[in-house]
Amino acid sequence: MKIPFQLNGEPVVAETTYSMRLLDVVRNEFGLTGTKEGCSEGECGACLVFLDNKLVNSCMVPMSHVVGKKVETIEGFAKSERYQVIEQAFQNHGAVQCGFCIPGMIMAVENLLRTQTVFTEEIIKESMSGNICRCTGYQLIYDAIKTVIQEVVE
Amino acid sequence: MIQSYRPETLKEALQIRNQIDCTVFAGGTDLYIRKRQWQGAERRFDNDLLFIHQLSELRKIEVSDEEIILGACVTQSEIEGDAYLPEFLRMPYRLMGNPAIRNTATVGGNIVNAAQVADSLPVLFALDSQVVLQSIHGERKMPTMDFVIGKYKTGIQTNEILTHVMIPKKNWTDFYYRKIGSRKQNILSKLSVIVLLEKKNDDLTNLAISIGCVNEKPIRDHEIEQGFLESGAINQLIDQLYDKMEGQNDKRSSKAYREITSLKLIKDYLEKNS
Amino acid sequence: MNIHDKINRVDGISKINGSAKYIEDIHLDEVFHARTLRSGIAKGRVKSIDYPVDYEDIIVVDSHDIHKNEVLMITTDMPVFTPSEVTYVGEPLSLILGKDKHRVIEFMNQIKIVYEEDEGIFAMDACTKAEDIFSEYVYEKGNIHELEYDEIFEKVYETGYQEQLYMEKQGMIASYDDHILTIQGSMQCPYYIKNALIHATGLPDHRIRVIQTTTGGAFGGKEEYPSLLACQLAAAAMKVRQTVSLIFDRREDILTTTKRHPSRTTIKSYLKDDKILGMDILYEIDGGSYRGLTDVVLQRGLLTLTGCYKIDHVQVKGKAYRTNNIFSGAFRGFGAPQSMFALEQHMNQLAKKFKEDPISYRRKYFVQQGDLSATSGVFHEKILLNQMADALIRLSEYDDLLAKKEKNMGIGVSFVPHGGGFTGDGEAAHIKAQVKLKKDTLNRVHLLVSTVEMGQGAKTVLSKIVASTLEIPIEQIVYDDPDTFKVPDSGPTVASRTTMVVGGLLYKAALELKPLMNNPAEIVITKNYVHPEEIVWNQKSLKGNAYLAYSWSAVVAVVYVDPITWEIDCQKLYGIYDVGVPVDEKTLLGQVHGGVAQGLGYGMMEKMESEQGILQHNSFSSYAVPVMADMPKMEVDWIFNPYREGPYGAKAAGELTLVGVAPAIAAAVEDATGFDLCRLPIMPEDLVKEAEK
Repeated sequence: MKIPFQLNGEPVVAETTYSMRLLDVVRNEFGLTGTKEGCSEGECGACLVFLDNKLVNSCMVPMSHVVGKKVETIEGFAKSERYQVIEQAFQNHGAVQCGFCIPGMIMAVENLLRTQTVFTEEIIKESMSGNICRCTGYQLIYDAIKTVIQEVVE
Repeated sequence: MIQSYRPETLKEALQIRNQIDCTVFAGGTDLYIRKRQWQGAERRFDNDLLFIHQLSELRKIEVSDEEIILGACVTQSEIEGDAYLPEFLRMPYRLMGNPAIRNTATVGGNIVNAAQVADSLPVLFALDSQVVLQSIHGERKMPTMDFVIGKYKTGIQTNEILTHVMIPKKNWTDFYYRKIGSRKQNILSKLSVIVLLEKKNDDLTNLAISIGCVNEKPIRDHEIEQGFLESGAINQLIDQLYDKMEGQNDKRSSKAYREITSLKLIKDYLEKNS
Repeated sequence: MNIHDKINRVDGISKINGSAKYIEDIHLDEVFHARTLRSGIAKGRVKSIDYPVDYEDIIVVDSHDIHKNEVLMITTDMPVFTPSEVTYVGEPLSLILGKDKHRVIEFMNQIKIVYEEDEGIFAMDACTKAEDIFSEYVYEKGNIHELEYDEIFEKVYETGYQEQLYMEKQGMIASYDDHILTIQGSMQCPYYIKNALIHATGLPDHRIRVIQTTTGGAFGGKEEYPSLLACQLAAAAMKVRQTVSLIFDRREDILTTTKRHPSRTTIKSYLKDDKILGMDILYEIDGGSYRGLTDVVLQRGLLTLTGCYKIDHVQVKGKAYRTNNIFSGAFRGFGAPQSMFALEQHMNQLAKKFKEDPISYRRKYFVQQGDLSATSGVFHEKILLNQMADALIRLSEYDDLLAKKEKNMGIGVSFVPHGGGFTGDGEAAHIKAQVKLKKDTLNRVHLLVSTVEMGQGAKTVLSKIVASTLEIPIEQIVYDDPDTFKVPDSGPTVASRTTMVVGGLLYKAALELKPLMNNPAEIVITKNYVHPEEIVWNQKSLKGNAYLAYSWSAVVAVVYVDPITWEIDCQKLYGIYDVGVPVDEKTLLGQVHGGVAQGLGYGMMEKMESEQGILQHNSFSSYAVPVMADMPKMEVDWIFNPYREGPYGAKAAGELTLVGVAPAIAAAVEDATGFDLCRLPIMPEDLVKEAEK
């Protein structure tokens, strides 16, 4: 069946089913492979996208939930100015290693900026709790996020 | 091939539910894991699917002087973010999963799925909440703690949809909630404990205790609570709660750890606060 | 550029914006998707497999489709597909190929397998027959048998499985066109795979091409295991003469790929006048059902003993068992995290017994330059353990920590070495690394090595070494993902050998290229590994210099243990590292933090148990690895101790950073609780049990 929605600002129609995962659709139908499948059960955050501006694990979202909605993937977000700030901070701090979790991390950082007004250590960590990185031990990612907050908010 | 239904109204949904043997799909954060299959392929559902996430009738939070009504498809993050709701209700939802999961997972899904690790059940049991079940024939209500029968088992009929949860308002003055998992955040519980107290001029006038994950469904016992209100004997309360425990060792934790720790948490809190 | 310059990762941007292509991101129009049919029992024989008929679009690939049904690792005991004999749950029986995944699933749901099941062996203690033992080693120093001692202090230490949990699952794509077999995928060792393919397919060298794709973490998990997948996919691609893709699902990956070996270490210390006269150590590991790299893991576990300490009389025995559990393999640390936990916890318990401070106690036994190691090799390099201890005390404000220690808090320390490169004469006898530097006519310099970037920073660090030596901008360096048609065999990306060994060869090649940079022609410089003369090793007697050079770490962990719930909170972690000279400090910092995270998981979170050969913790939700909030505040520093053979003085770093973490945490939890803790990971469930004793 045809499912219409908005993908990174463009109206699109996916030829799929209601029960298919959004993750599979953005990757396989639209070739947007920056959204990764890590754990396939909502724990690791490699597949994070925005659905109507809400952060969701695309491995846990059926296309039924996407009908007529706005989906933003890393490829779409990467075109924004704020992405540039985040990218630069991650680069400067050496926050990236194998990179598989990073596009999802970036989406979670953006969600933190969109949903919070106060940025304590506790709030940052809770906001990033759904993103697992096996390489970095998180410290340099945390440092990068602090830099982003300084530049964007303060 | 399974069929998927995505009705626009609750009425339509109930009609489909009445005609077809189908799995009701709310947020899907549990269902999708249980029906996992090869990436890029459909999940391995064996029933037709009825999607209800989009039904506006099931997405409201209503707060009145008498009660709180939560729609079945209200997401966990909507509860977490609703400043009109009491903290003892918001906190268990806030500590579930992670921010993205909570944007998808629903109030109703966590109840009907009835996992042993479902973190909303202890608080809903402790608050004497009721579930509202609708079918084309009408509506019935029952206490959530009776509705949940055991692990993945509830009293839902094949033609019913859980539409709302009703929480009667009481005068809770203090509460304690603790969830234990194998890491600090984003983890399924090994156990959880909620204690609600009502105090008038330092006298304890009411309390509710519920313990999650120890048994197949949360422990809640009005008689034991009533006994404690009358006697004030903490050790007796702990012994009686212990008698209700019938858990098993599993991959997440041990029977001994769950039992000893949950009771110690309750005891410690009551000793300091009752 | 200069080696001291601060630089950004060369592969950073594409990984941040999502454009980097991992194996499952590669788009293919026409491809067979492969799924593995696996045994449902741990031990026995397959009597029959009934595949459904009338599926013309589905193709089965099994042991009949491979030239030689053996996966070459160190030995060849593992079949590509088992024809009958089953030795573990999940053992591959065949690949099912189809272009429509739903058809493959439908087909697989109808397959009927009949087994003849035998009783499996699932515990090391149940390994009683000679055939249940893969290998046994023993080495001695001094004479443990004729000591005059007052008492024996004996403890048994155990560790469980650990899963690498790289974020990108195992995956590969194979094609067979124009008589060339091409394998692309997520891997650490392109030439291991190539050699396994030569063995299994019978194809000549020049018809096999292995290309690494961007690899999303490996940690040892993509060292030997991908050789199995490559052989399976080779059989498939050569059968269907089309492209075949095999991407694991997460649970499949956790359930069926290699894990860190479970271990048991028994240490007997012979004591006289409160002094350790000698140690008698038995180190045992569960290898699972195939040998894989188990012998070498066992060796590193043994040869890293007796750690940072000079013990005059030593007997070390090691045994690796064959069981019907999941097959164990490479994981960052490679046998050392297990034996070093045992040794360090033993040293802590001795310090506790003698009521001494754990750092002061260790100092009495620190090895020094010129001493003999446990394998009777001379430590040629400068050893700065005392200076490291001093630095650690300063960094952690150790005395202050002790003075201000509150109830339920604990402080623990560890000191561990890690040998860089292959054990003994492995680099010279087996690996024989070669590297090439090619300057093209545009004056770009190509690094031609088989070393892969898997997150650890190889591309950044090796590029920096060459660019600094040539004094050219790093942008002039080209370092593509290795392709065996283009790069020589500079060895596998393992054993913390990349910077020290491969980087060392590239450094020498760059020195030779430097005066030729103004020559407009294309120039290729080749360098082969030359073994340092003073490194002498006898593999038969396990005597001599077990490693080229050692790196060292000293760690203090501070924990708080909740008195009600027994939850462990690792609040602070201080580390001092001697990795020679860091080539790139930002990369090293990332390695240290990452090692701490994996070591923390190993010490207090990552519980993985097997029942009747089936792993119980098989997903991200049941196997808990640290999230951001679980990490302690980390303060780390390094001391400079240049290694003569290393590029700019660099030694090994990658594995070391993991090894010392769990021992320090375990010691801290002991300190907080007063319990004797001899098993990793330490879980609240275990502490409750101790408390109830």
